[in-house]
Amino acid sequence: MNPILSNALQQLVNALTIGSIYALLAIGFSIVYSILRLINFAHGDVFMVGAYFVFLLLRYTGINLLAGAFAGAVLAGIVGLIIERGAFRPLRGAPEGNLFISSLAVSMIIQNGVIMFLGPQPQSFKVPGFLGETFKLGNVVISNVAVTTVLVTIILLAVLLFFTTRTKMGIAMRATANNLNACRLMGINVNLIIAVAFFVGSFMAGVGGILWATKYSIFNPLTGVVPGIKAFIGALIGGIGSLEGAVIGGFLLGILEVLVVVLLPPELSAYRDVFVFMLLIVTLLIRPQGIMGKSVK
Amino acid sequence: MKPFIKKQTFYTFLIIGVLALLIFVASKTLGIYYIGLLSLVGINSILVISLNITNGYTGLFSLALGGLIGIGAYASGLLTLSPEYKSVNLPKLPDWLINTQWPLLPALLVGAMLAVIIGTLFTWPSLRLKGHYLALASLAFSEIIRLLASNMQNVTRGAKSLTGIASLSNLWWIFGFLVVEVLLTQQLFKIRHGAAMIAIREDDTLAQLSGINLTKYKIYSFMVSAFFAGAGGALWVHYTNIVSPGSFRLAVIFTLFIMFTIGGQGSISGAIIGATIITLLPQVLRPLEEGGTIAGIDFPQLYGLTQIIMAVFLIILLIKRPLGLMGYREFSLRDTKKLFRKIRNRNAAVN
Repeated sequence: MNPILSNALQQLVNALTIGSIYALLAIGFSIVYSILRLINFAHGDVFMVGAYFVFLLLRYTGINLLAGAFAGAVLAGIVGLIIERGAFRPLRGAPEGNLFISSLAVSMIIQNGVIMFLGPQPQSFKVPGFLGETFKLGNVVISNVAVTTVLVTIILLAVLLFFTTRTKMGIAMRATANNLNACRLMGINVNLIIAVAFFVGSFMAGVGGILWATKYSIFNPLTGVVPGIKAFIGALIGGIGSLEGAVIGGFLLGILEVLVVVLLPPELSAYRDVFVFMLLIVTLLIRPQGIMGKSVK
Repeated sequence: MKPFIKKQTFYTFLIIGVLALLIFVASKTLGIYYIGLLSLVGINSILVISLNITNGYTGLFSLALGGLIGIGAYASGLLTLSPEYKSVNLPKLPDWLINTQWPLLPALLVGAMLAVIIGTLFTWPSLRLKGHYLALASLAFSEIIRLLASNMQNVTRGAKSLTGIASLSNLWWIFGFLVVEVLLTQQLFKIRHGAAMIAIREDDTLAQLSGINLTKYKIYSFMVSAFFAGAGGALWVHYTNIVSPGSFRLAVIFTLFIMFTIGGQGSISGAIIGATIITLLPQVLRPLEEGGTIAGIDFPQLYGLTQIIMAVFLIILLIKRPLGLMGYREFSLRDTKKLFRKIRNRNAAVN
């Protein structure tokens, strides 16, 4: 295989891995936004908390990583439920700016709570050896973590697709996103739907956080901030409120990030995130509704 | 007969006079610690009023404050630094910038103008749209400025932070600027332009139907706010003498949002009240964070507790009093008199 092609494939593997994590995060953001019109700034922190739950479970209970990861993601989902119940439900109907501020407050509580109880220093959890191993496909080196990340993401996306199109609850959720008040009049329990939306979104974010922690093997209380913002941007580029859009936006962001590092001279690669944020501004300029979104004015 | 001077104008001058007298007394008698606290109250008031123009009066949700403060702080700091410092620590700057050393006022104005220009360039695509796009675009703007500040080592020294900035801003500068800002903001919302901004907040569709150009007034509102934020950043950096990329990260800006929300949206006096309360509150709460023995109970070190308490307080306030203490109202003598009369009447009724 010629070296340029294999290098390109190698970078594609990296892009897919990062993109999967962004896609998982962007979905939760998009679900909540489509129903409540709320940009949930605490979403990135739920992502970080997922990794911390696994860290604590592995340290104090001695279960294996798979069970720990599942429990950690469920716990992250429960954190999402608590956030919704405590900070967003009492504010329903208030000015939208207040919901934003409330989500900022939740974000501060989570970050500082982790700092208070576990300290600001970076942590890591022990990953079984086989995840760190790599194998070669032609000239392309693929790590097992990358394969796991992409596989887990695809499985979760398939389950989500089934949930939103084939189950009563999922259809009710899409209906609520379309028109909340009409759904309430039709006898749909809107509070339940919103709670489920928060649980699903936070569960996905938790999984994303755990995959992130496995990939980079280190995380701290502020780990969720930048991926959180980027996932928002991914959801917006893909088309806010659209699940397919969130996934596409997430993967696109992963590809862009890798492209910037590969194509630009090394002294500019420190500016990687600047390019990601600039992409948002450009998107708002030329196609504000995003790739999959309906037109906005 | 027309009075020589309007009653309101007279009160304005009276308040400014009393304020000047207070500052004079304070700067002569108070120690460094209390003067520092007062300066912070003033600077935070300036910043919260700036935030209030976009987020309170116009009903936009902007998170650009961090980037705007950063631009104002770095730009004015670079302009007032001595040529000796710059030639040693920042040798790669262009010669003209190394050799300039300006006094505070022109540096402050340049910093504020740069904040307006750069901030508006980044946010106008989102200001053209209805909805929440500004929140993300302004957050991206703040992050871009923070990333540039930490990566452009030749200009900002990155994480090593820009140090040695002279203490040019004192109580006179800070409160002088605050008075100017309050008067200008008050005037702005008395004229047509300010009314258009408030109309956008109340109902943007209706405002548009009444012939208000939404994009134009949203951009105006952002520009005014950016000017004050940049100037506030300049005053702040000449008080702390140091600025680093971490100085204006989201957690710091969040504190300004708490002041804004507690004091009251769309209210100048509310902004000042909120800034005062939240600047002084951590000074009371800080001993809790450091642990030790309070009232016979041993407390461990709990870093971050202040932030948590303030955030919980904020959520409760959002639920119980969504518009803050002042919420779209201003402090006025007439209302206060009415309040006192009400209390007196109630007491009389009880007796």
